[in-house]
Amino acid sequence: MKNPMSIKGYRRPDGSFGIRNHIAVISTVACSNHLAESISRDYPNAVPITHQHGCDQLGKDLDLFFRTLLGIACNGNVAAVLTVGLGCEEISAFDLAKAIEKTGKPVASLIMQEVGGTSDSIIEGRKKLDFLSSSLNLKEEEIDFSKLIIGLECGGSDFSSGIVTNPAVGEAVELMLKEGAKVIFCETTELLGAEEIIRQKSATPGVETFILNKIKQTEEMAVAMGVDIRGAQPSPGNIKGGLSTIEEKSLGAICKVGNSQIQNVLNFAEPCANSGLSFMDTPGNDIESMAGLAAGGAQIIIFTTGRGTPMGFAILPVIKVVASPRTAQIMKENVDVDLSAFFSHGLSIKEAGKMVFNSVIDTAQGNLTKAEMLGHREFAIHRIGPTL
Amino acid sequence: MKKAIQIDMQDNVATVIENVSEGQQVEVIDKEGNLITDLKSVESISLGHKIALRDFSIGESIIKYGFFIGKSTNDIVKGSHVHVHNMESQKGRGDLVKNISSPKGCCK
Repeated sequence: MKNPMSIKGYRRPDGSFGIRNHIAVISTVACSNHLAESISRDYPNAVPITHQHGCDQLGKDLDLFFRTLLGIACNGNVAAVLTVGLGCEEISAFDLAKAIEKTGKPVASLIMQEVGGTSDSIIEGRKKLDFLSSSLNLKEEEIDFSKLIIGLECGGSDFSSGIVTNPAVGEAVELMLKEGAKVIFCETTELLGAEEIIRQKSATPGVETFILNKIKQTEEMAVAMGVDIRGAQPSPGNIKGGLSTIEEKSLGAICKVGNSQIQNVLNFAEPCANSGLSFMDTPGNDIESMAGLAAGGAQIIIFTTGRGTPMGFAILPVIKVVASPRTAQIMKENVDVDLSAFFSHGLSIKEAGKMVFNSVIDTAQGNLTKAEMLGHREFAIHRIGPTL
Repeated sequence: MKKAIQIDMQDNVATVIENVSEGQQVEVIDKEGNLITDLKSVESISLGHKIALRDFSIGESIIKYGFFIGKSTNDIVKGSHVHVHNMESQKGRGDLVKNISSPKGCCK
């Protein structure tokens, strides 16, 4: 009999698994964005990964940029990669392809200054894409739920986030961990004020120290800038939704962890290798934060929102969980899991958690999320240094 | 009767889960829906915003989720709307730091 917990996936040469089968067309610099987009057009599996960076970056910032693109390329949901660049950027399309090759994944690269103008480069890129398409692993196999890495994200939070959606995700996290999945929560800024809970939930002193230091660094950054963090945290939308301070927002956000203990810690974009619940150091900006999760290997992201956001992500399904009755109604087409019955019909948090868990299984079995159906393929690069 | 959720028994504010008008009676319930207490709102409060469960003097701690979420910046009367106009965060307040030194490597 078929195991209801088994999911459909694609095995990759490095032993990882994907629940989607994308060809990532990664632009290594803003100058080759148009090329990446033009090459990908008309190829249903191809996803252009574009951004405004790659030029005049140095040191740790450049290293983070490289690790982010490499992590995206190595993600299990990516079947093959075409890197496209201009030719004078710090990390060339060739360098990136060489690093990806180590995974055994089909990869090709194209450097515009070596090929020619826009039109010739598009023709050349499509030839490479045709070749990669023909080498795709199309064989779906049943894989165990424990092969999943699930990222947790929240955005556009309001009063309902800390009362319903995040606690419901906390329940779902418990169920997913029981099945052996890896789960990553993130967004360091949104832990300011929740330090006591981090102390209670850290499985080891090392985990606790890492997270508390990251929170302290984030707060010190705001203080060193001489600015009041209230200008951005909580955001004007959060405030409209009833959240008064970053402390209140953070105490609601941390509910995503539920009753589980935090076992591991990860730097931004660091591959998630250990089972259990991990914390990744990411910023409060949702797209940048999701890029960190995806680079860490997440194949699915559960995204709670109060005010509503349409956001998806380039290479993975983003499950949108909502409880605010108004948002559930006016942004219905963007909502995957509607928990507003908590307010109208006494839906319990436990039942809500089961709904979130079931949507993860559905999505892993191949059902498209609303963001995927609507064509949302957002992507952004997190920077830690200036452009020089 | 309008409703507000008190998340933790130590909380001194609750979240109204319907729009509340001035002078309306509000039932305060816990997360499971059990009645804790009731009070009268002294002003209108929008869905999702907080209502004071007791009187506050300036500088007192506002507690939600059983933890500190900010300090009162005015005296607050029980039944009032508690939000950015009468409470503030104590985190990441670069605006409160005097004589900020320039970051390392930054020219004066």
